Amino acid sequence: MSRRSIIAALLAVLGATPALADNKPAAKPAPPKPAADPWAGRRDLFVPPVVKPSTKVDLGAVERYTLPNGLQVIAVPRHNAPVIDLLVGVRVDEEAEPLDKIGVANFTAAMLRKGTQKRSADQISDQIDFVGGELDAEVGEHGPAVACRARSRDLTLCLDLASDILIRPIFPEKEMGEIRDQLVASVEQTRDNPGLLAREHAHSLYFGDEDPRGRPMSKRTIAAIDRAALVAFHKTWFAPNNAVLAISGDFDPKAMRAALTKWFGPWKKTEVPKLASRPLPPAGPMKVRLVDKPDATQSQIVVVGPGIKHADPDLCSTRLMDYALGGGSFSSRLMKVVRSDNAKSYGARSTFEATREPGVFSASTFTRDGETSSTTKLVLGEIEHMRAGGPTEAELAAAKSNMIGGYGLHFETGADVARQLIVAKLDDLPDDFAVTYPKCLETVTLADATKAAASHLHPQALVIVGPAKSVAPQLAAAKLTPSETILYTDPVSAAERKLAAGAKDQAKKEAAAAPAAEIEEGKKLLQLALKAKGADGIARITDLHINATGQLSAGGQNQPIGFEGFYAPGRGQREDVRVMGQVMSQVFVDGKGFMKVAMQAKDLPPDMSAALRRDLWRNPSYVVLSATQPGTMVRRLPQVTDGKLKLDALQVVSPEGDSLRLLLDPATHQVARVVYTEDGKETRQDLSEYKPEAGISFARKIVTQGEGERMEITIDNVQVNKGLPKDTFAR
Amino acid sequence: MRNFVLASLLVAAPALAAGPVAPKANGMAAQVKQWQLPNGLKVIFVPDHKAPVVSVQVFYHVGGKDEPADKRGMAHMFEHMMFKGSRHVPPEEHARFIDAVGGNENAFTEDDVTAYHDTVPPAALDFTLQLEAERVRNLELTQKTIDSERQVVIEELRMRLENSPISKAVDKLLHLAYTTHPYMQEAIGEKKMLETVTVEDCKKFYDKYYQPNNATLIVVGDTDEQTLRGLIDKHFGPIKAGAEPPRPAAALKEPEQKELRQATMAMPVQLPIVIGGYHIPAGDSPDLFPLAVLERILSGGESSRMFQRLVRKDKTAVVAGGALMEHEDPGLFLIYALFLPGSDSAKIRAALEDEIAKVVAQPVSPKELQKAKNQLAAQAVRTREKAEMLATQIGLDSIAFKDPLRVFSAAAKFDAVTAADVQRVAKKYLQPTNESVVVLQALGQKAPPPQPAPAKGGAQ
Repeated sequence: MSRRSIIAALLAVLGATPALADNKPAAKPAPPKPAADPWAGRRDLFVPPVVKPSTKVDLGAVERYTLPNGLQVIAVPRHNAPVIDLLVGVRVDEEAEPLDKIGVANFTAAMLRKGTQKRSADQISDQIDFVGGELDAEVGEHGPAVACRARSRDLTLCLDLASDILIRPIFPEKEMGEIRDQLVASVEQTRDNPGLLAREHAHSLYFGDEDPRGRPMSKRTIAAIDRAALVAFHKTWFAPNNAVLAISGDFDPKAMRAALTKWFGPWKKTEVPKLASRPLPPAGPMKVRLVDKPDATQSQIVVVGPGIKHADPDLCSTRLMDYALGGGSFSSRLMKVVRSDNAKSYGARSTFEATREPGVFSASTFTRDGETSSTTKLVLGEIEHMRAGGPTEAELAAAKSNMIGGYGLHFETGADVARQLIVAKLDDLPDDFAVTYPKCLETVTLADATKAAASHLHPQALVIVGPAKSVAPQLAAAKLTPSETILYTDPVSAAERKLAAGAKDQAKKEAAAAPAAEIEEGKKLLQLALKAKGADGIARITDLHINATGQLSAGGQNQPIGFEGFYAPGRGQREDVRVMGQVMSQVFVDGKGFMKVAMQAKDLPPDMSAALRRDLWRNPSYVVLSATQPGTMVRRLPQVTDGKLKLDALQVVSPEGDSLRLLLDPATHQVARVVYTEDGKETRQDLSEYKPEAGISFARKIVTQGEGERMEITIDNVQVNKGLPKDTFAR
Repeated sequence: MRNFVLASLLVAAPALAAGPVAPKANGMAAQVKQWQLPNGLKVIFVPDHKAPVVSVQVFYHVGGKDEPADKRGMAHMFEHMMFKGSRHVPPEEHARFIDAVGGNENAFTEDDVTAYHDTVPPAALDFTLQLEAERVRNLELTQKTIDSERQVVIEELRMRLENSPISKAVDKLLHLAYTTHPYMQEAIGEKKMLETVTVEDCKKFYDKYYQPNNATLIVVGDTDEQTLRGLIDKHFGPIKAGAEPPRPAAALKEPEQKELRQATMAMPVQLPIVIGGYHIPAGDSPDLFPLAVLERILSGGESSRMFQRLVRKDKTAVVAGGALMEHEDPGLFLIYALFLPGSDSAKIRAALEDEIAKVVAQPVSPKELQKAKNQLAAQAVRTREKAEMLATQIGLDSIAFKDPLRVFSAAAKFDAVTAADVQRVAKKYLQPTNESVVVLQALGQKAPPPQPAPAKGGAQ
């Protein structure tokens, strides 16, 4: 979506979507008005005009030709507005993306603007922005596309820029970070948008992990894409004989062919691999997945099943049937049942995504979490009802009158016409598809639509994104028990979730498989550290209370802080940081984490909670105690040089598979540094100025350094086993 | 795909929709016709015969800011009720009728305005006007439909606000920037207050604001003036004028902001945001022209200052820019950046404010000025391309700028803007003491320390 179309769409979504009639005849009580309206309740005053929808389509002037290099051209001259729209679509779909590099098409498209043999990324932006035009390169529903929109006086610039980025991109390595961050941001953002997340999971559940259609782009696959992958993808698929160009708007059609030849002629024809065709997954019983989003107050519900190709002979009958089911929002059954009759939701819809290959049928809605299973049943019930009986005669007629009658609204501008024609071309439809489509709709009979319902409505996967705590029992009661429950921050694909879990097993395995000598030496080192710390004292620790002052540095700013820590090893911890008069507490107790600011407690999401659990385990004041707990594995690592000092190194792996490194001062055997990695980012804690308290020596200076921030504290006071205040861990 | 980032921001924060555009007066402008019915209904007609399409839109001059203070969200809820049946049209039949003639229909509620639009083939124009005229005064409000629609509207609120972190940041910003004026609350409203809306509330609201003398009918598309005048007289002529509607917000003038306001929010969010806003004057102030130019210089495309600074140079944000909230009453000049959780929000905020300080301290370059003007001109041309888009813009402009034909006339005013004008408005409005800022970050990230004193924002 371009920025402009976003704004246009915005206007439409800002407010309310009107509801559908409840369909009952108007048995309305007379309005309680003193002067009764003689026309009250008269429906016959409102009779829609009988407009026999015309199946004639006038596309206006359209020229089609092919350049010598194989580039197919659709030219749609229109002189009513001084604008031009150039669109180049490339024929390639998800099948072309390797499973471990999903997102390579998006990455390649986005990098087209980031430098060519003639222009730098900034020169490209400068030129298009200066004229108030738009140059987009991205992957849409029908594959990668480059679009340039501008006023007609800037036609040449559009031809120049679009051809340059398509033909001569250089994929500069130094520009890849920006695009990588933006792609990661779009992955992350899906987690903030439960509707999009549900959709991704539904595709994943239906197609499975081995099918690119079921494998969304992820942080891991984006990270795996290197420059060579971009160059290869571009070289393989971005060929003139594998692309369609549409130009529409206010231009001289006589001069256009020569102009296109000038700008796009140098694009070299190459051999393009045939796109593989992959069947839809075999039918089976419907699978159910629950995606737990503990803070959600609403559940997103998505049902998917096999869809159809754009070129499917059942296209027209299926679309008309789907209009009655959920495609014709205000006139559909789903809206009526879910919204108008039962007020479960703001919206409910269904759609058949039809492109070159069969897409999916999907139905979706959302509702307050308490109504999740009842609403799911309504949706499934309507799909089944339609599958079993098809639409009624009246529904089919309404679908036809809307889709045929309103067909002309899709061809208002030259760009509208060009878009319809280029999509048809990319999806392997005949050239006259746009013109014959209304006729195709008109000839559908009730029997056809009924057959389409029976053939094409087979839900195979149900995904619900919502708070599992309240949703899971409802689903169980409704006999829709999920076969799996997944945390919303976890990777969508099962293979990636396995990899993440595997990394922990791997750490355990590696530690266990270490040479016996390394393990032995590791244990010895740990014993020395324990002794240095005060073995007797530390074994008896039940609670610790620390007061400290220090400094927090982030973003080039330094702030003095007060720090107070309360620890009950193995059970809970609370850390209060006081900055500029504000106190923020992070508490982890009994397996759950929460945060407290200004007396307000907020539950932490499960991933954050888990990180706090690890913090409790690796607390620098008693990490050596943690390392001696049963089931923990230790091994000696090669010594580490830090400045002039050589430090002994020890790897510690918890029974859960969490791993950290301890660096020990070889002279004192005290822990000098704790190093661990969270979410791919390394944190190190430097410990110094050890002094004893209650027979245990504690580092009095702790410097914690992570990416972009640093916290330095000096501990003024340590209390051991004095008992923590009763409300320490209270919310 | 990448644009999702920006898309969500815009969708989440309707106020950010870049508003008006600056078209050159062209042939279309000369054909615009405006007239008024004896009952006060204003009509604006733009003929456009390029395709068999006509857009009919009714803009009522009532929005979130006109609601009673304890019923926030009622204007939007009422918009839903406009589809729930009237004296001669059963509930939701309006929408179904329009679908049946191949058209599409919808409505939206903003701070200042509630709009209803139908885009149909010309053969359905007569019928469409009849339907719109019917619900000006004949709506039927029952307990049953109100209770049912209340649930629907609350579900909409859950989706748009409660389960969208960015919307919560925008909501917080508005509550920070406005202490008195009802713009503090977006039109989506408050759940608790929606629970209390009664039939009687709705009836009063309807009688006050849904009157022909408080509405503008805009028709753009494939019809002619004579036909249209006849149809409008037939359907809207008989409706009686109502009393002059009350304007409660007029007494709720926002006091001048004297010092920086800031808030930090922490919640589970994967793509956090820093968003700030500076008070700017009402839409009819001439300062809105140089402010629009400035907005383009800061955020028009990847060559813009904010994108260049935060995304390309600092590499701290994935999207950065600004937007104008141009309203009937004084609005806001917004700045924002979306970033990955590892990034440092304090640094991002400092960079946004530093870019503001630069336009305050130095005049913009002639090239940037021309680029901004070209962008505004191109936007205007695009807005006029489609009947529905043009009709909506005319309706919004008629209220925000008190100038329905701004889309045809603003070009000359944008062209006249100088670098000195831009610097003057930057200096006047983009001061730290006039700023409110919200940092939304992932729960568990260390909170950035609140900024001590307004940094170097006002540097000369």
